[in-house]
Amino acid sequence: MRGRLLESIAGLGVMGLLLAILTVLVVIPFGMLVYASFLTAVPFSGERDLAFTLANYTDLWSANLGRAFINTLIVSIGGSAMAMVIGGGLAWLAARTDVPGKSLVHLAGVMPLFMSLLVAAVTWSLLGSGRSGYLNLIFDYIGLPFRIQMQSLWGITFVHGLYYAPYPFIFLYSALTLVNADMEEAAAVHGGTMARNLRRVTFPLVKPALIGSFLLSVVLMAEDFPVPQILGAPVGIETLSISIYKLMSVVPAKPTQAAAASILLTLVVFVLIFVQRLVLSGRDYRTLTGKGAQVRPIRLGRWRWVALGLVVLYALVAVGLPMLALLQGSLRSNLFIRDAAALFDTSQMSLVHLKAAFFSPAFHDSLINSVLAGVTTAALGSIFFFTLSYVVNRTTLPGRQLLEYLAMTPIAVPALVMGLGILWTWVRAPLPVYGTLAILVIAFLTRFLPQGYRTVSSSIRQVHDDLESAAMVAGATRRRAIMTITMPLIRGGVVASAFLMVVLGLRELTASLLLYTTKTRVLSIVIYEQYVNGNWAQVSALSLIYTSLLVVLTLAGRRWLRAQL
Amino acid sequence: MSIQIAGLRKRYGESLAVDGVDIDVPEGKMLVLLGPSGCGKTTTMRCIAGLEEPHEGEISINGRPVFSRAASVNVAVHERRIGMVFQSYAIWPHMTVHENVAYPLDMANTPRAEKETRVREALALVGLDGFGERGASYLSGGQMQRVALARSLVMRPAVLLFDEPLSNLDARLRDHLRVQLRELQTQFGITSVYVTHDQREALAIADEVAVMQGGKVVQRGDPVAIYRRPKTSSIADFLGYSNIFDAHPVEGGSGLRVALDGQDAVLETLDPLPSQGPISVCVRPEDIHIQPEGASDGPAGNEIEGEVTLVSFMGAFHQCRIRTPRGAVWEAHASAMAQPIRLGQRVRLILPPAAVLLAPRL
Repeated sequence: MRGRLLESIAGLGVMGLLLAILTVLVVIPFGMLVYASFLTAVPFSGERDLAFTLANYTDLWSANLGRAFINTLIVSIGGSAMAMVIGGGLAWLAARTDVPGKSLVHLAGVMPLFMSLLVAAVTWSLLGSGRSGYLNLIFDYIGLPFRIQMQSLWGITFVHGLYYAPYPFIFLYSALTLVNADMEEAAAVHGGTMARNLRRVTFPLVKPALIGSFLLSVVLMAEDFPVPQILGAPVGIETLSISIYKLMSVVPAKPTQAAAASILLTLVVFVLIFVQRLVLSGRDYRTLTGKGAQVRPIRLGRWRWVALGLVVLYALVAVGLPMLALLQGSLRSNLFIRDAAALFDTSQMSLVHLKAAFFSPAFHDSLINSVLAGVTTAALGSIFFFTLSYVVNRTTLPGRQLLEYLAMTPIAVPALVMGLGILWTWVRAPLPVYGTLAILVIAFLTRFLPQGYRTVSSSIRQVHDDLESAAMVAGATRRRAIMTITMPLIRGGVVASAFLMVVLGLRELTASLLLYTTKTRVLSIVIYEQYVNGNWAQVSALSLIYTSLLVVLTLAGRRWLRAQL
Repeated sequence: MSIQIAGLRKRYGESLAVDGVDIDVPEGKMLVLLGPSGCGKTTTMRCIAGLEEPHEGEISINGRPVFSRAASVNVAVHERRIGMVFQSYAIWPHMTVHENVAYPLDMANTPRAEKETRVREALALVGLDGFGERGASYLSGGQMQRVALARSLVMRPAVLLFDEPLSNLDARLRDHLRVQLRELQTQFGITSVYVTHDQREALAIADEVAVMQGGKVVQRGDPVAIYRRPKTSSIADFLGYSNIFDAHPVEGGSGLRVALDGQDAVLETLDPLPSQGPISVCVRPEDIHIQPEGASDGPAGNEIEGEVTLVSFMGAFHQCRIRTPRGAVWEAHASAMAQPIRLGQRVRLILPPAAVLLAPRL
């Protein structure tokens, strides 16, 4: 009985610790925001007379915010529609047709994930803003009467659609490969024509994945910050996240009003997530994979080459052009470009900016910071996510359901909002966290908590209960059983989540932007700062290096990342 | 070594999975817990192992209490010295066969030389000598179950628990392993509890069978008694009495006679009438003789006429279904050696009075 008692005390201790960590990571920052949104000043900011007020909310109802709300809807719904067409089309081609070069289609489907949205937005602003956008120069040169303007609502929508296409692709590809095995053949055996089978069998089966990935895209775009900040803010176009950031960065700042706007954005996102959950009702289409039963692919005939052409076109527009633009931007010795001919004039090119970027202390320091923050997040995250997943899935401790809810909450909290909450939680805290990399690690842990938890959790669930029971029956204590049996068996899942943390941490901009100080710049921040300073050559050079780093990392770890993004 | 269980209760939320189970397993014997899924048999076994904590009751192994709600005793799983073979095999896929089998000895800090000898012996016992360095995930289902058995035997456990150990194997392998398992158990005289839903397996392997329904032990006895004398109609149904019909006793004649409800049949039986309540007639299909209509031999006794609606060849016999004029369907086995029975044929079923069992309708 003494052993049992100790074990249950230990269990409750672990439970309490996990709850405390989740409270610090998730509950307090968000609670702080809600609290602040009803006050005249930010709590614990040194302000003496805090009073309750609804003014933060009533002041929000300006024409400006209404406009931002509508803009948010336009760029997220329009962008999602475009992402669905691209991602869905690629998924269908890859899963169901005899398109040549299937591995290329696969690659095109996930490739844009290599690009951080910051870099994507920056390069598209290089390619298509104003007269000196590279594409406009080329249009002028070949005599086309038409110009593109990326710094517009359409520009934001376009970039969203282009770079969020991998999400619907991953969802729908899984759903389509899952469906094809028996059900369509059964429908065909029972005498349906192809068109009727598509409508009566395939579509209803894929519908949850369609709606689910559409809503997911809308959520991601609605809370996105880098793209509207770079393509919208300079020309006065605001989305909700831009409004929040502006409220924080104007002088004097209006932090409590920013808090109120954050609550509004969170509500929008929360409703969308809720609907998505309702539609998917617990089915995770990405983890269901087909049995691999090869059914006869649909023959495209002559159209297969047209399809391949479209795939290549997408890859060129989403990845090829931006990389060329970055190369061009970083190789130019001076910024002014007279015409398209100058784009190809090698006498105007030099390696000076690339060299400068590569050997600059800013790059080194931020690289070290990025790696430090990413690796620390990964290391702490692995232990934390494992303990969390184990307690939720393998014990009968009271409150484990609550742990899971808390762990999944950050999905519904936009990065900017979470960053704000974390900032206010730690800026006055008696612990020396603000101004160090620790606060970035905290922010990353919070932001990537749902992905990390889900990855480790699903690998724990794949390990049969009996394996651990057998070890205990064979004479192992629970702790020893975990160490010798469960841990080694789910190492793959833990490594995958650790790797995911590093990559996501490297790409993170939004929360970092609110939390960094001059000593704790990370790579994405340095690029953003150079962009704000208008130093295009450095922006291009750094982006080029940054993207190469992401490509190498993603390719190296693609077998771990496949299912997780 | 013996196992005593008294007043065991285990709740899951509102429902009682185990509802007051009392069991004794004498030293060296094999008790089989038999019942449909959800009857509480696996939960009972997991309580013995210590993998579940009962809400009430007492469990002792060889006179030493390992769980007692009243006395606040609850010995941890790893201190109970139990061997257990799981339905899912629970072979650790990241270890070799040798590592799997050596694991319990490692946990007990057994000296190296002794460990090697005992692992070798255990592997030899289950016919896996030479498999030691094989990765456990490269084994077939039957081999995995042998490894699991070796792993349970190597620690010389106080008791052995088997949780449906054969149900994931194909039929031929199942028979083979069952025999081997029983041999090893009797050879070493290990007190064992075996859980299954397969009545054939239960009867073949048990010293004693406890039939469970709804969290309770509803009948206990040696395999022959269980086979011949199920206590209620629902136990009979579970034990392969495929002809169960409502009936009531009728007056007249010598001996006890019962009339089947809704059928024009009155049957003579040697069974005593259950003391109270409604009764059912239960007849095993293999106890019924089938005769083509017209062929008449012997005195007319328990006879039922009907038409053959199904003939299915089972090797040793033909499984037949016979529909009576009033729509009742009987099942009977026709010897494969006898004159073949054809579909649609009109036949007469002969039921020896000794084969007609009366049981309380439950």
